[in-house]
Amino acid sequence: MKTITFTLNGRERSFDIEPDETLIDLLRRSNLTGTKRGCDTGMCGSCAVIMDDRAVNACILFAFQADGRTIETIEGVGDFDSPHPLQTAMADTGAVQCGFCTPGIVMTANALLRQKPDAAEEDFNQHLDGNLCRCTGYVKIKEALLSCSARAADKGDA
Amino acid sequence: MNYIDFKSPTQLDEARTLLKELGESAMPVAGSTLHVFLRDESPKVAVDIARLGLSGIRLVDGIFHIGATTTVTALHEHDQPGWVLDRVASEFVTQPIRNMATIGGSSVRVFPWSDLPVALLALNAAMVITGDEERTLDAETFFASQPFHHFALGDLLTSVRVPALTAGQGFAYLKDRRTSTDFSRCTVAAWLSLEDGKIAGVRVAVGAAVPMPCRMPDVEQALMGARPGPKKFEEAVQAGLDTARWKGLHGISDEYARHLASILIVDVLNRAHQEAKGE
Amino acid sequence: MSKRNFNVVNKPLRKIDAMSLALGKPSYVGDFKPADALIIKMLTSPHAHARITSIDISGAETMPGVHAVLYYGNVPRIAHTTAGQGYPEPSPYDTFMFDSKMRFVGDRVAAVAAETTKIAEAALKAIKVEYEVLQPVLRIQDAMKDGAPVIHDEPEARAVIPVPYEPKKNMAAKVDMEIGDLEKGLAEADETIDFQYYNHYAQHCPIEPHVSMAWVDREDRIIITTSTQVPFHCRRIVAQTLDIPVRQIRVIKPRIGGGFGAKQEIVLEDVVAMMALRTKRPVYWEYTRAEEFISSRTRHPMLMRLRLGAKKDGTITAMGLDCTSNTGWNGSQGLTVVCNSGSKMLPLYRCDNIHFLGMAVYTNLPAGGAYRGYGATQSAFAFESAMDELADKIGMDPLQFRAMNHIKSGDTSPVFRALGEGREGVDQAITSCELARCIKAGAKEIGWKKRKPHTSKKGRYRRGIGMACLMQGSAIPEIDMGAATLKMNEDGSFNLLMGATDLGTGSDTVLAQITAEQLGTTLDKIIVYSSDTDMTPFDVGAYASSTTYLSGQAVQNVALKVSKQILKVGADMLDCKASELKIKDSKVVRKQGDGEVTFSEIALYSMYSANQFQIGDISSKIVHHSPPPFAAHFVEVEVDTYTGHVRVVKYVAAADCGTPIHPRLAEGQVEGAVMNGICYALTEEYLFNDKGRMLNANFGDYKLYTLSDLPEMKTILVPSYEKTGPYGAKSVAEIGINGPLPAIANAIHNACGVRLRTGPFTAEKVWRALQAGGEIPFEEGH
Repeated sequence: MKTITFTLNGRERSFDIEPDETLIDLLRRSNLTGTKRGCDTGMCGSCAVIMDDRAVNACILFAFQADGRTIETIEGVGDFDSPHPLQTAMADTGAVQCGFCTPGIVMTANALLRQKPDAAEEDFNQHLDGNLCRCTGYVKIKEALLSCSARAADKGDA
Repeated sequence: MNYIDFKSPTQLDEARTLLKELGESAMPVAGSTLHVFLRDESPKVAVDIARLGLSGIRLVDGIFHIGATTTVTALHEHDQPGWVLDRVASEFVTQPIRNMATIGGSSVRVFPWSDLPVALLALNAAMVITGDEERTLDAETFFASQPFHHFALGDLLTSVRVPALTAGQGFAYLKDRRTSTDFSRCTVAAWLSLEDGKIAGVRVAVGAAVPMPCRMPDVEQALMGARPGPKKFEEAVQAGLDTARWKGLHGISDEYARHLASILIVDVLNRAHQEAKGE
Repeated sequence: MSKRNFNVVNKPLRKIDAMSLALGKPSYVGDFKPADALIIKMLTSPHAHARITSIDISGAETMPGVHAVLYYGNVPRIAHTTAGQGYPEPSPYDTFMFDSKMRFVGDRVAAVAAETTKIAEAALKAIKVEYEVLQPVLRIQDAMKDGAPVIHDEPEARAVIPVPYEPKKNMAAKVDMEIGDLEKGLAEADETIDFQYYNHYAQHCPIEPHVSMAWVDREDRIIITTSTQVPFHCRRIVAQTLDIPVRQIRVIKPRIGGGFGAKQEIVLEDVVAMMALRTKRPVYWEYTRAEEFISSRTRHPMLMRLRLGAKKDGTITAMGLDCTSNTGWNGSQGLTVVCNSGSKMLPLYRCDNIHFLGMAVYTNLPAGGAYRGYGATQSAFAFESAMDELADKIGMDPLQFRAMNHIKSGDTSPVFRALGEGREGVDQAITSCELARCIKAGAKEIGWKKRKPHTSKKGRYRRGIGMACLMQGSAIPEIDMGAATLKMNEDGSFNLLMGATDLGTGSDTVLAQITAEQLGTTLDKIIVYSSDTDMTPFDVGAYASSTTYLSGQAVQNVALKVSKQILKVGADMLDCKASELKIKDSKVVRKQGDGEVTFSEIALYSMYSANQFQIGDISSKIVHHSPPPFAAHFVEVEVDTYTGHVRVVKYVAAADCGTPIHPRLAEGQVEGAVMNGICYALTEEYLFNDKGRMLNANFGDYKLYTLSDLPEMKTILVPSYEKTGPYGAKSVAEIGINGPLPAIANAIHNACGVRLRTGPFTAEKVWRALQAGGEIPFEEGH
């Protein structure tokens, strides 16, 4: 056991970790279960969290790599009384079927929109290429994501 | 991996000392994205080398100096005349992996489907190893076999140097895959330089369809000094294809792997030629 | 078609659980794992076919932190089926919790429950096993050979309904049906075709792998929380397998991270329950992705022979379909899947001479199970490929050929009666069919008119257009039952308690919409609780495209009963006859004149004021029809004739699902199914080595599309009104997956003249066929 400290959803937190513990295991045992485990090999994106402004797969990240950094999980993004626009858009377009991939998609898209608020279709295609969804065929997801870009607002169809 | 401890040095010297002290049990970790492919279960100590300040891209005298822990996303987002690795980085696995994976990690451990080594071979990159003294290996030497052979205890790959593309030169990179995030079945890269309408320099590299990424010397030789064009490229490829040992990955036959290479090499040569012509 | 005015149904309201899921609230089994849960890990067979000659678990049992080790020597040996189907099941009893015989690479050897994953994994390594390796059976054709190794040689293996079952011949199921005379029909034809087709292995790939947990409560009951589509079948089968009474088990289904049929199986729950009993601790078992691929369930691969005959004028004179599925190491859903291969495609086109032969054979490979499309995916590939080939032979446009032959409203088919699910089917006439309009709308969207023969195409990249027509069913008539309980609360809200199992499709929302519509209230007033065997009435579960149609009628019935009670209380309160009242906007109002009471006032009155009783009821439903949804799919592809790569340019799916109760969710069902079908057609496949070990059990090597691969997709809902369904609804969830395989095969042919009859359509296959002038020799794949 060793102690690491990082900023988690805006608060500095310390954790005792095992050297080979992954970030997803640390988060989930800390009751942050919104980060989902879908493959454990970094290939499905349902465990996506934001580390220092970039979306990363928590299942292949060791907890020690988070030491001193800033981590954001779905729990820090929004709540019923203040959902993130991405969460509202996903819910309202029908982009949430089983919902298991949704937190990862929200986190990944969130990282993109922060970097590029007027993200275009190609940006979403590129940035979301690590998030598998088996339910929706991505059509409604794409619609939801595009509606959150400043580009959509410019066109007046947000 | 069976990590029994981890270290998080912040200085290169400190990291090198740790690696020396720990010896065989040390495992440098930068992005950690290759761990899922590693089967070693012996107890190890992880040495986090992502905090050593080894990341960043600088242009020095026409050569890009790329820190070893520069992420693939940084390669992708870098935008400067003569910079071409964005074309490779954009085809690299998925966004969350690009955000963690580093150019160093993708170079020191080579898998058949690795992206960057193929491009670095075609670009004649220089690989800088920091040991008790610093030394530089050209990409062809570095990737001649699994690169760990080049490393002594405490050595780290610290920088990759890639010449900037100049006027009259072209570079292209392609990989064959089933979906946009698939492992490559055949990766090809070509660099080409024109003088007076003739090929003054050319490097062709392949990966995935061969056991280790490698150059295609016979193809290159057949092109040197020649007038470039689709017909010439096809001839050169047919003449030089059999120097490589073709190996089908992921359910494809060796014969088809060879066929893919024959098509893709012509494609990259055509594209590199277009760029060299300034089109 | 008839258009109705609805208040709640047919509206794209927010799916009731969408926001909590988007917020990442604890929802799925794994989110509720108790901190002190023991972790279960399974030691699996490295051999496809073997007998355990010795096993020593002592090293694992005595390891600190290990609480129990289960293997064939210390658990009950009770033959059962893992298929979550109605009782008695149409699938054979050929599976044991643990056995000494290994039937595939991945078969259960021994399970460990330990304090941590690490300890559990270390304990697996401490189990010493010796095997007598037997010859494996890895192909359908090998399984059927005389003298083939017998996979189920145990004496207990048996069918529990009167159907053919010959395990000594590796035959898990057989069905044979003839209407008219196939040979006569073929003789009458001007042109005939006779081709073989092969559908390959694939996995559902729910993003949440199978996961279950269990504990024993203070009354010694086992509480199982599990990601299942069939909570009630799960309870029954676990009780059977553990030899304990049903009453000792409670199954809770929280949100499910996708199922697609994979979770219509009892894959983890028997071991989880047994471990909870043994250890008296909470236990938790989740599959790794690799285990999900290998040891859960797959689509049944199927070897098919299709003979068709037609006259020059386009009349179809004969249809002969032989289907042999590879049901893998157990016979789960083997009979019913292959029955559906016949019953869900043969009625699509009118024909007097029909023969169907269906078989399922055991192999030493992963087990087939229920998978969206359920046999129809397989036969649609053969059928809709062959329709193009036959149209070509008689010189007709394939669209016209289909349009003139497909079943229409008012028609019936003798197949409906002749072929059910493991028994005779049920007669039915088609009461809603807008397939003709689906074809028209889809053809327009894809630009069918600009379609040119492949012989006119040149250049490296060639585009082609293909189509397919499809039908499915809506529930299993006279077999499936769904039930719902509805009760009213003080604020005029209602608890809707259902056995129906939302596996991510949105059925909780759809059923709440139907309930709200019938009650005359709004969606937010319906509090849905679905699938808890202690709390909700029975429902067969989420399969056979049944939930909207079947459970939808159950909730509509109970809402109707409850609204009558509401009117009666309202009449009491307004001092008039119930017949003078109607329900409008969550109120009871006089049809004429003044006077109204709100639902809330009615509820309060019924609970606290006079003649107190709980407004509420329970209702069950079985259905007598299985009205098919219909669809016409169109696709444009681009073939790189140098490499053989096929790119989907545009996909159009026009579907008739009756009234779409929730249009966006209905579109989502189509789009998700189509995308799954496209991946199945082009990239998804199981690679095995020659010893039966799967080589690509991960998302790196087994490829699904991501957003960056998404082609242009267009979904067209063509409404009809199915009068037997709730507010005119039929099913929609499965049918869409059946189209891409044949539509893409036809489009590839139209692009470059290559005809592929074995999936998936890999670049290498296309390239080889191009080299060979259009076809490669037929081969059974994997």
